[in-house]
Amino acid sequence: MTAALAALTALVAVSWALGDGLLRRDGRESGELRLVMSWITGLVVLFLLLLGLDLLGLPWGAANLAPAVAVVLLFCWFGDRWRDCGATAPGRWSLGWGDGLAAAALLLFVACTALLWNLHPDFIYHWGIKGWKFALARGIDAPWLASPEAAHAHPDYPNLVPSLFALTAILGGSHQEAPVALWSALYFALTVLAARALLARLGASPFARQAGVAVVALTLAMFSVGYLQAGGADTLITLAVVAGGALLAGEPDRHADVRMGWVAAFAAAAKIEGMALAGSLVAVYLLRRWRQAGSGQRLQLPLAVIRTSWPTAAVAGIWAWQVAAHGLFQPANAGAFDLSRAGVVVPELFRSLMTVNWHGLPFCLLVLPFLLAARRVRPLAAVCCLQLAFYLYVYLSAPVDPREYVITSAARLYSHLVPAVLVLLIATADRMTHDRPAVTPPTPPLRPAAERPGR
Amino acid sequence: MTRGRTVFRLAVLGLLLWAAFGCTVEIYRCGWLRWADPWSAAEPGTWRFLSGHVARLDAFLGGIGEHLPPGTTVAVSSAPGTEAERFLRTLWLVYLLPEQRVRHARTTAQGLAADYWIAYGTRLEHPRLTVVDETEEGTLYRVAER
Repeated sequence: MTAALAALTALVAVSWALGDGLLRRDGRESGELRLVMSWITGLVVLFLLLLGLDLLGLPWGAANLAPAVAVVLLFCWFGDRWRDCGATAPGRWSLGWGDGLAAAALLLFVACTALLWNLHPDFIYHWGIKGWKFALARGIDAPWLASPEAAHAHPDYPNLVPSLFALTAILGGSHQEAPVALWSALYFALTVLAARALLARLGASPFARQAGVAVVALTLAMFSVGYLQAGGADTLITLAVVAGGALLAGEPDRHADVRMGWVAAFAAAAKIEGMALAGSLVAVYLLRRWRQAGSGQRLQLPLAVIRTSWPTAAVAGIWAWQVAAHGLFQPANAGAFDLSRAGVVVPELFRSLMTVNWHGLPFCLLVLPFLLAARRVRPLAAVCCLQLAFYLYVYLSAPVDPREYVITSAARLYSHLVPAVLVLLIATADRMTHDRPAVTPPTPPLRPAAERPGR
Repeated sequence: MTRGRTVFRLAVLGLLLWAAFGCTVEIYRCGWLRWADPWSAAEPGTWRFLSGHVARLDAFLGGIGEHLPPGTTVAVSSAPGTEAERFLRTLWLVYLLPEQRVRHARTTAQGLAADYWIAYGTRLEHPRLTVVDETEEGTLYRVAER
């Protein structure tokens, strides 16, 4: 157990170092958003390195991965000295009562996960078994994925989650559930930090920020424990929605282009649903960038498109190649759109809003159309609406029993959006009832890169 | 502070209290289910990782595991439960035997395309099946080549 926990800790640290090294400083980025973006970037880079080793036929393990990580870190180190690194924000953290409640919720989630009380059922059927198979194969076990025995395990899904499980098991020297399930604690913490950054960027008052952070953390703990979400991939999508929302709430520029690219790739690497999310995040972001760009700046848009799209293209391209090369695509993932299924799907979706472990919170999704009217939160509200529309499309087209399909998945899919929508709701209500005109937090003064200590 | 602001603060505090209540209920319920372990043997779809049925299955596999070389194909038949639930029990075996290629088998009538056969909670009779190991929980057979 100790070795597996040490492996988990090392991988968490390495992924942060990779992301922090690769992302150029953005003076307007808060400390918490910097952490979130560093980890998201680092996890995607780590995954791309694993995919690279797999494509080269090199087995996963410290001997092959360490040189690859070292090369990237050296590139970042030298790159920092060769280029203009922008500026850094003061990075002050002011903690409040909401942060304290959020920390308590996180600790409860960690305790439940470490005790394996809330291990996701799909950890057994899907994510966990893939992780063990990949660990034994020291890479993506394509022959097993292509075999009939793996048909239940969604062989055509992207593999970020099981790859991280496998790497943890390889480096830790054993297959143990608790250390790999604790990856979910990282996603939980990052989602709370991203919610904090999103509230700040929406100009929420100090009370709304603290309350919003606490509500998001308690909601995550409530559902992730009650509905058994540890060790699954849904928490990654939740994180991508909130983190993407924080970027959509800021000013689009070249820094945001890069960050949005990594967030979209993170979503795409997590689940099939994440592929759709990546598309809508990038599309809404680029639309916003295009509308805010002056006529002279529109010439830079092709570069922005490349910056926001290439990480997702890399992740999705390798995934599509693997699916095609090994014949992994499952027929159950595609079907003809059939509107007549709405008679079953829509009532079941409403019934799922009342799933006991949710305590009614998914009803907040019903306000999404109204949030589209609020200019400041419109981009993220639009992304959430597009994601819901995608889920509805899947329910109306998948060639399986629609009632069963909704019953077994809708409550889980709501978890992708509920935390983000709660934040939007609180921020919008806060703004509507503010005593004085809401102000955007002042942009921290920029300091030249040369003045940054320790770099 | 305006009335609207007061209403907003009360509403957000209400939401916060509701979320805290829900969180407490879910953690309590999760813990209670862990210790009460109310799951039925016939419904593996409801089992949780630490339930007694999984522990028994794991102990059974621990006992017969030495006879199952890595990479071999293992067919699984089990009881009790509906066909859908028996399939889910096989998925637990897939998880617990990652080094083998475990596949679900309804009956021996479907063919014997496997190196070994596990009958969990049931027994099988077939001329090509030879008992390798047997416990109260189930039996491991070797499948003879045709």
